[in-house]
Amino acid sequence: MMIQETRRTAPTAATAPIANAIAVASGKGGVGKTWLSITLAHALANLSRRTVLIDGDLGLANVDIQLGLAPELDLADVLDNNVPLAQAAQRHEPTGLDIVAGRSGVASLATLSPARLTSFGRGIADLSGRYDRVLIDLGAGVERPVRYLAGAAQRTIVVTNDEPTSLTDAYALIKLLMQDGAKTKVSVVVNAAASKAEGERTYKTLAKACDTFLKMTPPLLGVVRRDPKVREAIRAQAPLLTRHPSSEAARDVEAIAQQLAQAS
Amino acid sequence: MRLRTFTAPSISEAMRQVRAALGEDAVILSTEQVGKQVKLTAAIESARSVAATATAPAAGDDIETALHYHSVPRALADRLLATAGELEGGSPQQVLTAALRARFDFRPLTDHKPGRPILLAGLPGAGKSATLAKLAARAKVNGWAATAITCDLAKAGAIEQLATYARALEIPAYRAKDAATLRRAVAKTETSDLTLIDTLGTNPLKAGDLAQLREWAEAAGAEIVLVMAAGGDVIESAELAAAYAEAGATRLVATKVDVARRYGGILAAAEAGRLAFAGLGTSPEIASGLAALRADQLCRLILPASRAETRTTGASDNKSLSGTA
Repeated sequence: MMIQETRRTAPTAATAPIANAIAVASGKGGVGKTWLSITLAHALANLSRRTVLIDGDLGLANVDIQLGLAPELDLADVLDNNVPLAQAAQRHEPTGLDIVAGRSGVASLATLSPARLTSFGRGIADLSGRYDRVLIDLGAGVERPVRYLAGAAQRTIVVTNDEPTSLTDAYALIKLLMQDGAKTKVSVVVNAAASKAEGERTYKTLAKACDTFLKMTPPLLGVVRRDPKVREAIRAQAPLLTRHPSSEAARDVEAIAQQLAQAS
Repeated sequence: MRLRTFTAPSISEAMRQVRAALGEDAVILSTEQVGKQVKLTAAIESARSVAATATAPAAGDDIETALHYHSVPRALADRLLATAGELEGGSPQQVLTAALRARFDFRPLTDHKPGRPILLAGLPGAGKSATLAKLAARAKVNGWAATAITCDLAKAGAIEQLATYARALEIPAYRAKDAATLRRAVAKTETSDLTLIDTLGTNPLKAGDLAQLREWAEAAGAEIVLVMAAGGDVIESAELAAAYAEAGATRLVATKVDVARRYGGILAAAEAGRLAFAGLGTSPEIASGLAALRADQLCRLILPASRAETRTTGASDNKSLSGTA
């Protein structure tokens, strides 16, 4: 990069990251980030962790659509009308999750002012006291709201698949988070891998790029195998862990959830 | 990072392809045998990969150097370069102008009669009173009836300054000591095409100042326009703009560009506050010292076409009236 390392204008979490918050990000859209967020949150709830899933996919939300929810309150009420996050969190009985739904097509959400973004971050911090785990499904892209929310969480899971564009965007997100000085712990999940070995190979490609150009290597959190039952469950607007609990993808996600349930 | 995969019958052939496409500095990220073919993933990390691939390299480099010189925040510079990269060819000036147009809003105050009063806000000494006078002068040129109101009763000589401008420009002027008087003053300006409200310098770090600004704007039914001096610190400018945007500011007049060299601050401000560029204070001259700020003009500030052209100037050649503020 030739651009001077100037100081940032985007707000970064001034305080320590939220200890029990996990951001799920991807750089590129269409890699299964939202599906993974829901399924991971569900798996955490199954492990008796009180879990809330915040659909922070500002601008193109769809957690509620995948789960067939009809939320009364959503993130737009939180951001525009100062409704507390706790009030917007809605219990989804089939999974035992609390969910704060996003709102599709509200373009302004994707370009929140730094002040409102900061106040949203504070809201998440306040909410986090009520739960064991807070999952934030972040929007695709590497823009300020995405990086800010990732930086506010103790952990950020970067989701990728084996496509070069997905790898490039995952790399760009990791690089920008590093350059922001974000204190979040970044790890990688390879989604829709043809096999465990293929997924690990994809991870190694990304890890080598990070190691070579950024002098850091984000660890592999897990590989989720490609599984036709995932698509079937999404079409049926049903959680995978309920519909196909013994599928390969379900077991892969559960293995990741085990690590997240134990890690502090 | 630019990442590509290459498939060839042999590793040496694949390597040859990598070098041809990505150059000698390419890094091999993975190799894989796929049937009888070798699949190789390689990447290169360079400025060029962020900048234009569709643009001529020289154009991309010039823009990047210029953004660097102006200390444009990296994330914003990356976005401008990425936008520039999507554009087809052209000179660096044309490409940057188009990228600025795509990334920012340009709504010059002097293009259309605003439907409501304009309330000028900003730090002490930002050039609010001079901007008011310059806008009133532009209104005269446009044949609009302008009115001036000042809420700045605290600064020594503020009323006299406004009175001097108003007399010279032959426009009515009022003063307002609080929101209620401001509301009454605005009510008297019904026939005015452009009602300009000057405020005392606000401290955006004080919640009370911003609340008062909001109260005035609401009382007047006015649009808040931030007046900010160019050349300020990039972070500071962005944070100030964000604070004023919270208070309701929607447009930005950049002042004192003739005494600044680096314009990253006003770009960062416009981005952080999502403010539209509305005007450019180019000289102390009241009659000619305010230009409608458009993408091409902003581009000329950042990337002069030649060394000779380092400043933009106002449109009017009437310099008989000059101000001191």
